[in-house]
Amino acid sequence: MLKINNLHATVAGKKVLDGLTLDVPAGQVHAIMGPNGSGKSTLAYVLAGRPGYEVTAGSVSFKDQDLLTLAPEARAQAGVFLGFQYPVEIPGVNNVYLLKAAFNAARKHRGESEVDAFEFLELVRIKMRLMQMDEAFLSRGVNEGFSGGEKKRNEILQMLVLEPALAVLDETDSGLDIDALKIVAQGVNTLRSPERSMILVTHYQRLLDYIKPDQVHVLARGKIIRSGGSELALELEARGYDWLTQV
Amino acid sequence: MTIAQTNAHRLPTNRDEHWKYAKLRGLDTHNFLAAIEPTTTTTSAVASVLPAKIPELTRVVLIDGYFSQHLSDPLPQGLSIKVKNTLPDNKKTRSARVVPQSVDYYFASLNSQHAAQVFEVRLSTQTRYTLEILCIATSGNSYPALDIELYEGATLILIEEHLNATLETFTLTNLSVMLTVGADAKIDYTRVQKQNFSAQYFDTLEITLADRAHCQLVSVASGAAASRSTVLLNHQGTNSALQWQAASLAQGAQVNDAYVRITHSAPGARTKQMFRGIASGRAKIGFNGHMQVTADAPGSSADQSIKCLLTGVEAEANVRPQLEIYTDDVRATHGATVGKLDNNMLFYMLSRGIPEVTAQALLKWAFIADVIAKISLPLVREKIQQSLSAQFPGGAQE
Amino acid sequence: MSDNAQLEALVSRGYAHGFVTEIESDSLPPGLDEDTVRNISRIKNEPQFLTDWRLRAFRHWQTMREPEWAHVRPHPVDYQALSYYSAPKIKTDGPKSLADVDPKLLETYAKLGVPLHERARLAGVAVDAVFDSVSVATTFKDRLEKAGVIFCSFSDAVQKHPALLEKYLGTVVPQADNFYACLNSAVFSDGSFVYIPKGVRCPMELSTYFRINAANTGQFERTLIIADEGSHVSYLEGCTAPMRDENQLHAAVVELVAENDAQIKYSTVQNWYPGDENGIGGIYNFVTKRGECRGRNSRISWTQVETGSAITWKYPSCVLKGENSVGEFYSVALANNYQQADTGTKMIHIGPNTRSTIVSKGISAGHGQNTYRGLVKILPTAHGARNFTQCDSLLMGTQCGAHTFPYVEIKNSTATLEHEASTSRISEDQLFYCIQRGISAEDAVNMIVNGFCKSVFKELPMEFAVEAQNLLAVSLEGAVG
Repeated sequence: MLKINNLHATVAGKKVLDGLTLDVPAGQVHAIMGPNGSGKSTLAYVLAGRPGYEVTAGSVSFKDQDLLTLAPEARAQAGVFLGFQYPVEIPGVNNVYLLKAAFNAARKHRGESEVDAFEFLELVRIKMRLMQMDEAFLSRGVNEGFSGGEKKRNEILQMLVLEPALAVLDETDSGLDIDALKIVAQGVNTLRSPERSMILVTHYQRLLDYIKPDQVHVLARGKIIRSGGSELALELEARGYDWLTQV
Repeated sequence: MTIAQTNAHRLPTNRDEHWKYAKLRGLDTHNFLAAIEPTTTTTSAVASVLPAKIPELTRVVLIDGYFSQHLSDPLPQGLSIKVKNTLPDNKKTRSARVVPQSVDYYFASLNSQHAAQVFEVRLSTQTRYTLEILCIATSGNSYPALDIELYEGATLILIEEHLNATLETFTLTNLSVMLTVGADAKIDYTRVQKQNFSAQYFDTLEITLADRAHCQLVSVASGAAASRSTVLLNHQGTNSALQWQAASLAQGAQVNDAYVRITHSAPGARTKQMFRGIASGRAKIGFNGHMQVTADAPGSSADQSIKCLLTGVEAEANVRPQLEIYTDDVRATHGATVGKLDNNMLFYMLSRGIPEVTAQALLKWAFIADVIAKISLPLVREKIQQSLSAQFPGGAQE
Repeated sequence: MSDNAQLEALVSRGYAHGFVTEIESDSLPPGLDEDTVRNISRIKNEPQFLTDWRLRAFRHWQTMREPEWAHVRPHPVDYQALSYYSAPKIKTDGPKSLADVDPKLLETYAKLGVPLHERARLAGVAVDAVFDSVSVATTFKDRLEKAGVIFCSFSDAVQKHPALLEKYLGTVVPQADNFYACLNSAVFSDGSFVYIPKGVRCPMELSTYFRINAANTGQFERTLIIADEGSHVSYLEGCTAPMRDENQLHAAVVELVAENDAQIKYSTVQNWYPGDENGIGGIYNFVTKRGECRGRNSRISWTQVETGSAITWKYPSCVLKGENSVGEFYSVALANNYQQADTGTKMIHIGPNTRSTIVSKGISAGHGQNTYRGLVKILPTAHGARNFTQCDSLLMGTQCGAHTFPYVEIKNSTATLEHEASTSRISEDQLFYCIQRGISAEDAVNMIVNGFCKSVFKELPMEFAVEAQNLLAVSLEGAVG
């Protein structure tokens, strides 16, 4: 599904990713952990194509096509979803409107017909119930005045509606209380399938109690320094990162 | 008649403080003739371009400033509307009134000289009406003149729209509105200026608010090659309230300018002002919001929010949020921003697969959404949204 | 209330710097024509280019009209009744050392608290003192010379560094810029000159103290500061004047030039005589101050605390030409009694990625009128330019006024501008809270006002920050009751 090879990237002239290699096969969930400033969020942004994150070397292939040549919206339409660590507020743009526009853009890309507002609303309602979100959220501005937890739930709701092939969730667990965390995890788990891959970027092993990863990677100074099974996360929880990074 | 004959005033120039950013070129040689009364041919041509009727509104049509009985609805009972075919002769008339010696009143003064008719609306105590005034300019000059007075406790919902009969013909509109809102009266005023891109448009709106009067004004200007609005409002009564919202959309080489002076001259006056401007292409938007609080207006509050979005490489915004305050019992704030579309918002949308053009349109639409949301009649709001959607392909939200 | 009596007493204490020094001075007779201009130039033994420069300015000035402002109402100034040159009488052409300086003059500076005498110097402050029209003594010459810094009176610079002067004079503020700058260009008498060579960090704060002493004199000083590539300088300016019933004119010009990577910090505490509580007398402070960030990454920062003068009219500005250059303006302006303060800044963004910050705090009390007038202009060439402006006004009393008149002209779509302003009075809740805690009303007001001004005070060098706070407290006494 996703093959990252020797990826180097800079942000504002500063080297952040320094030869990162990662292979996420279809159907798998990989967790990426690491200390602050190790490049976790940069990786997420580079995959989504955020302007200002410059790839200086390496390659990323997604479903056997070169991801890096695609515009951000084309990546999204091709099935890459980024769950933002800090979802932006967009006052004046309706939540449901954005969602519908995104949904239809993807359908159009696949050569499918657009769905009408009524049909779409039905679909969203089902997903909202799963996320235990109030319908009033739909008519509000995108993330406008949402609490931290509400924003994260909204991200997962968008993911459930868009059904991406690859979801990159950047610290979706941060700022969530335990109940919200369970709901978010449930949302993510519903989407797990053999055709879909996920990358969970996280600081804590807590999320991994609810979403069991196939692999755990430790990112430090811009590259993967250790990979292992889900037990690696527990070990990190117990020992911190120092024992790995001090090498 | 030429400029020289409008004795008391002179044409403003860009050297005049309040006219710094208006497009005035060519006016010095313009012939400000009185408008020609529309013929039946003109009237039938106008009939074919009138926008669809909104059921709950009583429609009044002015062609080049002349009332058209043919195209207007029968006026409802109890609503006193006078059409004066000769210049009015009572004391309140425009030609007799003393127009202040200021260039800000130049166009109003021209209007009082040249308007052949003054359209009067008088709402008696405790009445409520809903009115749509369509001003259609067909060719040459037009001088629509409106006198609106709301007596105690009256309520008026007014939609005023400025259009052209054709897409190309040059017209010069000089609108003058005098609005008096009596004690406890309430006006809900929506103004849409959507003239063609050859047109020149000037308006002067003078408003007086009595005790506890309430004025809600929404102005949406997207037309004309050059437009300039002058609003002169006085909170004359205690505890009067004004909510003023305006959206100015300029594209191509349009120049949209507005000067709004709000004077608080009685205790407890409240003003909330919101301006949103979007300039694309090499368009220019000017906004000068002048808030005065005199020593006679303790307990006042005045809030001003001005935001401009520049989406064209050569677009310009010139804004002046002014506060002039002579009492300490006041709470006044203003905020102004000028900038481009927010990159974070844009990227968020792109990352959801929304095409860039759509994302931009959505953000532009969102930028003026606060203004549009203040239009109280849903059908009118929808109509305005639709008419603007051409400027924001894919951006207008139902 | 006894509070009021106390306040009255404090008010009548009034202007602490209002003494007159009895000193013999050489003055030109009142009047202004081409001969006056030639005389000034001759007295100062100026090279021909400067005489011509002055005359050009004078001829242009005669074609100009005194400006009229909607919110500033000066009494008309009779330009023919002023004397355009006044110098303390000395036997030789100028004081060669402190020993040559009239002891009374030194006493005056001592009263003002200027650290003129080297023995009494405050740590690290070099002072150029301008008394009426001439620069009296410049301290710390040696240490500065060692660093290659030129810091001298304008007249000295005319004699010793004519080439530098000819190169830079009038290049930031053109002669014809405005009525007062043009007048100054014709008749300026002295001022300070600073040149910081490439790569030099000026080893100490430089300071000028201005004082108007003689009656019926206008003070027209001129300051030129050039910070060459990579240099740094911090410059302080303080102003006082004796109490007189007539209005005295102070029309100065300050020009700053910052080359590549250079930084200039210019701080002013202006405490000219403001006139009495009925608005009689006081200085007309009509000053043109402008800095040009010519080089990339250069920075010019203006900080001012304006508590004095009957009328203040000044807009220290920055022309941001160099890429990534930065302009800053931090201002506290107070208008009490019948004072009128009309001040603000212009930030002209020309170069790409230029940034500017404006923080203005206006305090109005009594019948004072305080106006912020500013311009932020972003030209088409200034890609990515940014401005942040904050203007706050505090009103104390029902007779005063606070006005904010900003101009924002943006001609580049990649620019970002944010402007915020607020006007309010001291909240009764805050006052009561303090009083309930046993703090006197005046102290409470001072605390609140100081809090209001904090973001500006923190930009001042330490010694000045303390002075500024005290000055504000004195100037505000009587404003609360």
